[in-house]
Amino acid sequence: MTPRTRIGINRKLVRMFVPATLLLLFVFAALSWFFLQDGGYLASGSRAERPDLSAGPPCFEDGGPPPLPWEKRSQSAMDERPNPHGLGIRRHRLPLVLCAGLFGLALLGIGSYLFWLLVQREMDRAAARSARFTADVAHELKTPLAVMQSVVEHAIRHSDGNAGVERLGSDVLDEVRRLKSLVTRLLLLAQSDAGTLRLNMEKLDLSELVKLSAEDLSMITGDDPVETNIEDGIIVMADRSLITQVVQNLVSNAVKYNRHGFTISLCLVREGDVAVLSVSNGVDPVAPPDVDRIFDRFYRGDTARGSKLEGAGLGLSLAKEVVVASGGQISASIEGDRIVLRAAIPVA
Amino acid sequence: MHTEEDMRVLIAEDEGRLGKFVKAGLEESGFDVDWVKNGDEAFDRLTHREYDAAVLDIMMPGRDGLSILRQVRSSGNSVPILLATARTSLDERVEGLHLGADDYVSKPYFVEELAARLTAVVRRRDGGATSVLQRGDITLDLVRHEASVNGSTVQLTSREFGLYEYLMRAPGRIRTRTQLLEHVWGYDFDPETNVVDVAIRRIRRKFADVGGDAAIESVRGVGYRFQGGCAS
Repeated sequence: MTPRTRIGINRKLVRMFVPATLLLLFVFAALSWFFLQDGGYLASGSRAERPDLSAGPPCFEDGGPPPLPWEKRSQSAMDERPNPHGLGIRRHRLPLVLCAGLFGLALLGIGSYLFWLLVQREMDRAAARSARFTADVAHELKTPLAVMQSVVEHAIRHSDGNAGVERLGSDVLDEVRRLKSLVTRLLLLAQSDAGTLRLNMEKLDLSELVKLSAEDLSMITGDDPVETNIEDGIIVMADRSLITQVVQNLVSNAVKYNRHGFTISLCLVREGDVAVLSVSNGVDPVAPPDVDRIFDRFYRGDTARGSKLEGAGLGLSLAKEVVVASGGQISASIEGDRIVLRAAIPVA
Repeated sequence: MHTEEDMRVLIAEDEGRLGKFVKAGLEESGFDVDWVKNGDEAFDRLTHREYDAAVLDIMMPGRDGLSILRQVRSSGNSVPILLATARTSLDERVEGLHLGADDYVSKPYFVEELAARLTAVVRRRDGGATSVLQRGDITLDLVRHEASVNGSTVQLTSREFGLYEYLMRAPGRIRTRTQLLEHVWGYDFDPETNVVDVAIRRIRRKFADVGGDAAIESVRGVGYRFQGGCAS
C-alpha cells in the first residue's frame, strides 16, 4: 500500500542481525565453556604440563592464562617448553582467537543493528519532514489560488452581461486551473521522491475507465483517426484518482504529439495476470522522440504539431511514478513510424 | 426534501478572503450560510445548532476538520459533512471518507461546484434523490442516463450526460469552460483542444437529430448556460 517497500525489505534483512548475533554469542559462550572450564580442553592438555610459568604474575591457580605476545619472557619460555601432545603453542591459542573473533563479530552485529536503527530513525524523520514540507508548500500555493479563483468567479457572476469582464475572467480561470494542475503534479512527484506517496488502492474496472478516455480521445483528436480496442471487465487494484490521471495523461500526450493524419490507437488487453494499456501515435521516423528520456521530468520532445504545445512535461513522469508505485511497469518504444507507450498493471 | 433555498450550511474556513467569497457565493445560490473561522467554533456550532450540511477545512486553527468530523460522528450526529483540503494528500481524503465524511472538495474549488456537491450530499442523505430532472420540454433521467425532448429519447455518452446535467441544474447561470472541464473531467485533464466545445456541439447535434433543441446558450469566449432564468 505504501511505497515504503524498499525500506521494508532492508528492515527485514537487518532484523536477521538479531538472531545471527544471538547465535554468535551462543557459539562464543559454548566454545568458551568448552575450552576454559576446569579440566576442559586447555586444562587437561598441555597446560597441565606447562613448565615454570611462575615467572609471570600468578593470576590463576593453575598458573594463569596463556601469556600474551607482548609478554616476551613468557613467550620465549613457552616456545621452549616440551609438548607431549605434539600441539604447538599457536594451536593452544587458536580457540581463544576463535572466541575473540566470534565475540568481535557479535559486537559488530549488534553495532550494525544499532547503527541501522539510528539511520532508519533519521530516514523516517527526513521523510516526515519532507512530507510536512510538501504539504505546507501545497497549502501556501493553493490558498492564494483559491482566493484568486473565488474572486474571479464572483466577478463573472456579477458581470451583468459585460462580455469583456466575462472573457477576461474566463481566461484567468483557465490559467488558475493550469497552475492548480502543475502544483498538484509537482507535489505528487515530490511525495513520490520522498517515499511518502500513498496510494488508496481499491478494486476498479479499468475497462470502464479506459472507455471514458476513449470517448475523450474521440473528442480531442480533431481530424486524426482513432482506433480503440478495449477488452471488457478488466479489474485492477489501483488508486482511482491517480490511475485516471495516468490514462488521461497517456491519451492527451498521444494527441499532442501525434503526427498529423496518423491514427491514434488506444488498447486495453489482459495478458496473463497483467492488464496492458497501450497508447500509440504517429511520429516522424527521421526525428523520433527519445524513448530513453520520455519519462524524464520536463522532457518535451520535438513535435509533429509545431511549437505551440502547452504543458510542463510532467504528465508522463508522473504516470511512470504512479504505475510503478501500483506494482506495474511502463515503457516506451518506437515501432516504425509509431511510438507505443505501454503500461502494465497487475490485475486484481 | 430540501431545496437550496432552505438549506442551512456551516462553513468553517480560516482564510478570510476566501470565506467571504464562499459565503457570498453560496448565499447567492440560495443557501443560508453560517461562516466560522476556527475549528473550536465550528465544533461548538455543530453540536448546538441544526444544520443541513457543513463544509470543514481540514487545516484550520483550533480543532482541525478531521478531528471535528471524528467527534461529531462519534456523538451520533450524522449531518452531511464535506471536507475541504488544500493539501494534495490522498491520506486525508481517504481518512476523511473512512471517518464518515460525505464528500470532499480540494482547494481551490469553485463555489458553484461546492453548491452542487452540497445539494447532492443533502439530497442523498434525504434518501430522496430525484431520479428525473425536468426543465421545459427537456427531461433528464438521472438513473438511466438518458435525456428526452418532447418525448423523443436522446442517447448521451457519460461525458455528455455529466456536462448536460451540470448545466441543466443551474438554468440561466454561466458556466465557464474551466468550470465545466473541472466538473466533468477533473482539473488535471489538459487536452489543449477544447473538449468542452466539442462535447457541447455533439449534445446539440443529438438533440437536433430528434428535432429538439438542447437549450444550451453559448456565452462567447466564456462558456455556456442553460436557457431559462430560475430553477424550477
